[in-house]
Amino acid sequence: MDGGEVAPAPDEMEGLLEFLYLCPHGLVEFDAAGVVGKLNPACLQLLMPLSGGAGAVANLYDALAPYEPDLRHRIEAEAGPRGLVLDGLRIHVGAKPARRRPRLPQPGPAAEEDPLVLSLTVLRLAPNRLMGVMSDISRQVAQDRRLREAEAWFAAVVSGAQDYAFFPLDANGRITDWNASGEKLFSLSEAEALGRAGSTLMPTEAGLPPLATRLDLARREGWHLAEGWIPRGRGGRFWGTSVVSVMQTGEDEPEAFLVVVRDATESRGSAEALRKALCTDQLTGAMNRRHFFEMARDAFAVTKLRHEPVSAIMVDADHFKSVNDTYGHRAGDAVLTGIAAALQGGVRTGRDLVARLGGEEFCVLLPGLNREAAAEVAERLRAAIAEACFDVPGKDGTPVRLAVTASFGVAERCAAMRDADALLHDADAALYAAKAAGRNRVGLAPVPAVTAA
Amino acid sequence: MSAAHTIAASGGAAFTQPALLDRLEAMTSSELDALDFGAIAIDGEGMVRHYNACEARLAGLSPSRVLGHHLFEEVAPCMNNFMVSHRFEDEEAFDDTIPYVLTLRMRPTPVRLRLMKRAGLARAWVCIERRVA
Repeated sequence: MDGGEVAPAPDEMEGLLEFLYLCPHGLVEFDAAGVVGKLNPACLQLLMPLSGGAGAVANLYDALAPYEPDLRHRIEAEAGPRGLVLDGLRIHVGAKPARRRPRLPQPGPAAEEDPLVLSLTVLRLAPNRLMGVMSDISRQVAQDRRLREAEAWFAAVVSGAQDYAFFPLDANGRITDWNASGEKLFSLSEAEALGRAGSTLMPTEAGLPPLATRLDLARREGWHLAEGWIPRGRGGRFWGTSVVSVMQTGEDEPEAFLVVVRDATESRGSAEALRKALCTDQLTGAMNRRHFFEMARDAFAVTKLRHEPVSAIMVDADHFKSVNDTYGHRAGDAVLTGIAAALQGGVRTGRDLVARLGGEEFCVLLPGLNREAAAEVAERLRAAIAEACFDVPGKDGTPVRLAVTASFGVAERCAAMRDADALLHDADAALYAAKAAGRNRVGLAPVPAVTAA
Repeated sequence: MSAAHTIAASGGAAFTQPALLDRLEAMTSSELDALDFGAIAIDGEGMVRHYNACEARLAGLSPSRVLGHHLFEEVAPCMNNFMVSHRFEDEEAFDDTIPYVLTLRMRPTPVRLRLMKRAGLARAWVCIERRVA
């Protein structure tokens, strides 16, 4: 009875098999239709919770479709019979699947954990044979985000913020205690401060959420940072950061918040110069990447709380490299500045955010606008840029008049998106489609299918 | 489950039979090796104490490579999750059969797992049956 015989593979083969079983990165081999041929346990571990059950890992594209619907297309679009097809594509899954078996249905929102982000690298071995490497990079992504947030602190601290104040608020945002730090920074006595609305000592920049919303955000995320002009108690203002965090209180104690305010003006000559250095892109005057992600995170959370839509437009200058190559970098810089000006001139001042994210890539965030309204804005911006003439310095210094176009990608937040990154990712995919369709046009992200999941 | 799975046909125990845990505990090593499904015994620390011939054949790993190693950390990380390993850590007693997919020799293979544990026993069991499509 051969069923009972152990037929061990030669020792080396067995060692290789074990090596693959224990490899901590997911490895998968699949064909052009996504059908999985081989995969190792780490890959199965990553895929199984996503595809809602043990049976659904037969096809890689299907398993990832809810999170990366464009995967098949992206892989197919990468021409060539062999070679690297995707390099570290970030797949934002969102809430982490349960690590522990829930014994009872969990009421309320899921505990905040780092949203699950997978990295996928795909190599085409032959036209119908692909190899994928997959890993869980949630921690790195979350750390990156926290670093970006911490950067706001470091910028303020390292540049020598001279003064800070801290005071507690009750659940209604009223000041419940006052100390010397507050007296000094806000020129308010204890009698004047106690019971006062904390909102009167908060940044009041356009686009920043009101205190009640900030308290809600702090309840959800532990803390909330805002940066802007902060009024002094008796007139005047200073540029600084204000962090509202939830205070740990006992079960019988009322809810409380701690506000830490830093005055960032003292060490620099001009508060406006500091604001610019911290928040804007030097070349174009648009918002810089760091500040944009902070503000976008806020806008994303605020619109969600208010059940308002929010949309993003990704913008990328067409054939920008050839401008640089033909006319030089000064010409390229002038084009970027012109595009930034056109974008800023075409959106709502004080409400929409215009940022330069990198190279020739810009992003506009439109709180309150749905996909259709955002598409109209994008079309207007596209026409404005296409119709404008850019007078740029040529290589020998003589002015050159250039016609420039840009491509646009529009997406609206849907329920499945956990954070602003997901929204930008969709807008980016739409931009990519607009580029592929011939440039100088607006691409729309597909309306996500409503599923019963 | 199939009526074809009789105790006689599998030489001593059937994957779906009642009280399989008692049956496995009473079997000798060679009787366990004669089973037509995989059977792995682990101790309270998760270390593999028995690894039968059918399982060795399915996974392509010989018992000598596996015995004394941690099942969920060192041998079968694809069961290291809330559906399997966490139950052995968290719960005192169960006998449940669940559909599952293993990567036996890197092939996605649908199986059924029967997970068995009882307070007072030194060993708990994971049984693996290839699912018939």
